[in-house]
Amino acid sequence: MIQDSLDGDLDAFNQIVLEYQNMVYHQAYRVIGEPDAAEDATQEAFLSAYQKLHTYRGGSFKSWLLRIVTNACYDELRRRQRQPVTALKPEDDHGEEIDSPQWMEDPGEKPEETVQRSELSEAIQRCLNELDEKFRSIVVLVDIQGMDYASAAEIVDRPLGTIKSRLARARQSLQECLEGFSELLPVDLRQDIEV
Amino acid sequence: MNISRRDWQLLSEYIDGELPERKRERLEGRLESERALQDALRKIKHTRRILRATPHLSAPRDFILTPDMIPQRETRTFFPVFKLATALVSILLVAVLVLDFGGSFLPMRGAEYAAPAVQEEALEKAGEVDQTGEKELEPSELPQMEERAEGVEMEKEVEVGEAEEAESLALGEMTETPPATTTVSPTPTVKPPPPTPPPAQVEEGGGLPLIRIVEIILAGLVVLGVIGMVWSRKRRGDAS
Repeated sequence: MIQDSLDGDLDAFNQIVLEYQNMVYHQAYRVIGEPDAAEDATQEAFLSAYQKLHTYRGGSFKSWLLRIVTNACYDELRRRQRQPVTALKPEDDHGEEIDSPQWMEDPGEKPEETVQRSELSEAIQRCLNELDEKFRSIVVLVDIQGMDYASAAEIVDRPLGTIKSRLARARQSLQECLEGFSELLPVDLRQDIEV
Repeated sequence: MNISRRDWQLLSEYIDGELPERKRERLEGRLESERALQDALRKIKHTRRILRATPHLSAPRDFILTPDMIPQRETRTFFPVFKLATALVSILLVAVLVLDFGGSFLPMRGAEYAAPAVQEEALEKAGEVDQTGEKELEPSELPQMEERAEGVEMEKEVEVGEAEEAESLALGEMTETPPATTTVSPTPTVKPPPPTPPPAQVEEGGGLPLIRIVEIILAGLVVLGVIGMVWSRKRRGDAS
């Protein structure tokens, strides 16, 4: 698919888009913390990926794509700093915040599980939003996307030592923050805190 | 009890298996005896567990690209190209203008220098006439000689005039002698006309010199570059 995309086959590239769009959007949302901006960053990342596809030199395509979306997120965050901040939650037609947005729904789970998942997601996102973006992107890459240190270093283009120290500081801040949201966590995770 | 930032980083690397063996063994030794470190380890493990449990979000829509999205991005590459090319051509144009009006490189000058050279040659020739033909040239005759540099036709007239004068002078000195060819040979006085300057040299001064053509071409390229910059910027503005 990558080779076909390099030859200008847009349909082949769109197959890649469909395969990776959840991962890319997830990264964008966790780093930016706002759905509309995350959508913009995701679209921008795929456009950028299509135009820079010739720079892909093999290796992990996921890492290459995460690097592009992370940069798109930084651009989006810088853009947002110059503009008024919008609400964290998506809003309905009447301007009311939607507690369980459509993109959080999973047709296979029970309503209470959906609510629980939404609350956990919201708690984590609120704590992530309190972090500086340079710490946030690394903790999202390592702890949420499951990348190893070396890949994270390559994605954010920083030395390994920087990744280690920033990750440790991010985890420390998140640990303190998440203690305040223990009642929003699922029971199994909540018990861990109380031990 | 709080632990230091350094210890927290050691624990962070430890739970990810990124700690070198020596440091890991030392940390494990401390963990057996330090309760604060044990608590911190439990907390950091728990934090990582929560983060790993973060629900994965689905994309709210498809982000597939359509053909009309692609050219909008590609147009962006034209503006810097035009900008760079225009800047380079402008520098080149300025350099050529400096060379032209600075006076160090002028093909026209060849033609300008050609006339004095012909004049010099004519003067030399006049000297030869003085020696060989025993003819003293009046100062008033020098301008006539110099005029030869102006054109071949004029030179021919001067040559004929010189020949006649030299002949009459010789006749005046050699009385009773028929105008024989023995005393005064017309050969020294009536020399073949000097070689005409190469037509190309003279033509160059009259026609459009190469440097002017280069200047015109470069100026045209600068204008085209500016038009291209305006066009590409307008296209980019329309696209965005």
